[in-house]
Amino acid sequence: MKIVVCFKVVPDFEQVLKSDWENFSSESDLNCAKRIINCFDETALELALRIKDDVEKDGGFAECTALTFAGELKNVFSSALFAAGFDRVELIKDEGTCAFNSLSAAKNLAGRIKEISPDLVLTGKQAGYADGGVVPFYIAERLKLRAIGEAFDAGFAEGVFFADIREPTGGIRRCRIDEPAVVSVGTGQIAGLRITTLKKRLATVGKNIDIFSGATACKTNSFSEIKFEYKENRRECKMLSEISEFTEILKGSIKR
Amino acid sequence: MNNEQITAELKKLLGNDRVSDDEKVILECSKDYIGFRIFERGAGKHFAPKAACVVSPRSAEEASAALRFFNANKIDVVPKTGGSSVTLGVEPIEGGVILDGSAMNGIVDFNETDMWVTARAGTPLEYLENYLNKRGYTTGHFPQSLPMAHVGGLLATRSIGQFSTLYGGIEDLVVGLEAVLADGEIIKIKNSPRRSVGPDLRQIFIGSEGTLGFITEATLKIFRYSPETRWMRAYGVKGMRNGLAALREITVGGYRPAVVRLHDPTETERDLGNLAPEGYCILILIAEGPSAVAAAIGKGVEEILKNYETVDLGEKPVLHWLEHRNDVCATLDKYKYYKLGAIADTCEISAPWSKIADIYEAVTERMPREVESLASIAGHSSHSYVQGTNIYFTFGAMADKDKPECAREIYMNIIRVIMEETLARGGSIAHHHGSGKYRTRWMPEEHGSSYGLLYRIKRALDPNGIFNKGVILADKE
Ligand SMILES: Cc1cc2nc3c(=O)[nH]c(=O)nc-3n(C[C@H](O)[C@H](O)[C@H](O)COP(=O)(O)OP(=O)(O)OC[C@H]3O[C@@H](n4cnc5c(N)ncnc54)[C@H](O)[C@@H]3O)c2cc1C
Repeated sequence: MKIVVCFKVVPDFEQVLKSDWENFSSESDLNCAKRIINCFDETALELALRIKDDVEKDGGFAECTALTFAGELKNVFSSALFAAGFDRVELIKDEGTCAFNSLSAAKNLAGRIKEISPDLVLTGKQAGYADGGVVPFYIAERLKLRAIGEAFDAGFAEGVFFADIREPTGGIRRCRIDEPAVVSVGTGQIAGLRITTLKKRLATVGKNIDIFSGATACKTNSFSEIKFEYKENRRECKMLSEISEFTEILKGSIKR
Repeated sequence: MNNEQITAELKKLLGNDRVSDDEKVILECSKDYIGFRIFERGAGKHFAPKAACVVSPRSAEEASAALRFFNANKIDVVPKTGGSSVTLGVEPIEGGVILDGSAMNGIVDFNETDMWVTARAGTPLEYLENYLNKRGYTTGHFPQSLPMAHVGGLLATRSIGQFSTLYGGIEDLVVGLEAVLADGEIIKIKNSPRRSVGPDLRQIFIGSEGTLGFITEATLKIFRYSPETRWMRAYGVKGMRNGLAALREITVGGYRPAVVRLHDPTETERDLGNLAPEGYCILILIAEGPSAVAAAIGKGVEEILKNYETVDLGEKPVLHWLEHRNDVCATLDKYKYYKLGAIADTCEISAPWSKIADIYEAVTERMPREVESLASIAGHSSHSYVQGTNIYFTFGAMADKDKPECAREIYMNIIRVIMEETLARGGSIAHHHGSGKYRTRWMPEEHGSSYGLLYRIKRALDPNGIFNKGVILADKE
């Protein structure tokens, strides 16, 4: 059983200077902001590991790959991913300035996912402000897989994957996933990727990330059409228990 | 006297509105921000001892009346103002009383000629600083807990601010003060630029952590505030030992930037963006004062740093640090680390230049070997002197969310390593948070032959031992 999780290291947008927000452009230098794994992706990464734990508890075998496109991947992130339980960490190098180009990201990610041929693909619903949340759907489209949006939980029970999703109308629904699918994970029930001990991270020395070349360079940057606005804590990935209306819905309908 | 009797007597003495035995109020006032307590509270557990009640005097006279009553009845009392303690210093004694000074707030005197401001103990530092900034002045005192701490607590803990290399710690900023002794006597130490009239009595209370008296008012120095003349620069510096040597050269060379912060490669990689090459520290510098002085310091520092394998990172990382330096205060009660199954905190020590790098290396090397669940250990130097500097260790460890009662042991194991390595190598075990209750067991070794003197002072000022039991002084001499 194979699971791929797409993730992206991004500047912590809560740490970007206010003055940078006021004059935001594709040229903005965000290098001073702390780097984090985008919070939706963190949830997706942790869900994959929980599924792996469940599968292995059932006597099965699951291989988890963490896959990212563009930018660099510092050791601080790769060692955390390996120590947390990912079998492979892969980086597809960006051939041009495609960082803000959703189509190009999807194309490159889908290309590699196809080679891996996983049973389940998890992604965060959105990598950054310039990302309209379309990458997971573009990936699914290219791979001709079912796309499931707004998942807040996913797991493995009775031999199949499932995803719990939020309906646009406010309800929640459990989807059985009995054939490969792409699940886009939104605000989750869990706090983030599991923390690992320093000892475990030090033991990953020698485990290298696999680096691939991006398939196509993108010519245009969709970024120029986007207008930014700063709002504090806009992207805070809240625990579901902190969002009262969902708690109420959950209490009534999910028995896990 | 039982809890109900204590509460009833105090209500008679000070009025109903000055005394509360409401469970929520007591819990809130007993809240200490030491890492394991935050973890426990994340799990919904409150393991702090429970006080009989909280007393909130509005004046030194009311505090005096309360203290006379405590002293006569030998009731344990723990002073508190801002409640940002990270040392178990504000935790009550079971069945004792919390003496909350936060209702005694406000600015009493603002004196532009003599350059001081007098504020009552419960005045929030942020309020005081904003008040002064609007008038073109500053206290020069910027602890990270600026949004939380109050004047009384700042004095009591011997606190320090981020701009200390220029302005000094609170001990350098206090001109005079007022305090109430255990027997209720109100004493005032008058304001003077300097005097030679016997030992400096201010220092009995500064850093006493509520063990010798209740501070009710303080007069602090003020300085002209001119952030627009600042010189600011950040550098990547190869390796911590090399970085510490650079800090030494800056201070020994006679330069006094206000901010001198050296973050080790782990903190740099984890927290400070995509700036420095691997294995590099980040050094953040701010010089302030008249523009010619700030510029001259900047020029001198730039020259020195050319000899220390540095990369110039410009001004922006400093702006970044300035804007986000106190963000953590707003997150403390959100239990971010508890949710991830981790305890996170800091621990600060100091040492002479000849020993500080050895202590840093000894702690960061030993800790992963000895603390099984350690998730991270890193550190930075943030307060430098001609004789040495501090290291502010930042650490995280994993703990079982379902067994919050185990967090303390994991936490204290980490502290033990830091304390032991610091003492073994000639450092001092607390740079600015104070002893609280959690570092008391290492105090005899820290003070050596002078420790007994602390007991003598305690016996003279608080013969019934009502003030802050277990802080700095072990119960048995
Ligand atoms: C996020 C965070 C960042 C911090 N950063 C810094 C920093 O940069 N620099 C620094 O020095 N500290 C720092 N601290 C520690 C803390 O803020 C300081 O010790 C501060 O001086 C405490 O002030 P307070 O008013 O909150 O005191 P409290 O927490 O109320 O009390 C602290 C101690 O002082 C005693 N006390 C309080 N009021 C009185 C009084 N009126 N008379 C006698 N004794 C009294 C108490 O009994 C207790 O022992 C930080 C803490 C946090 C949580």
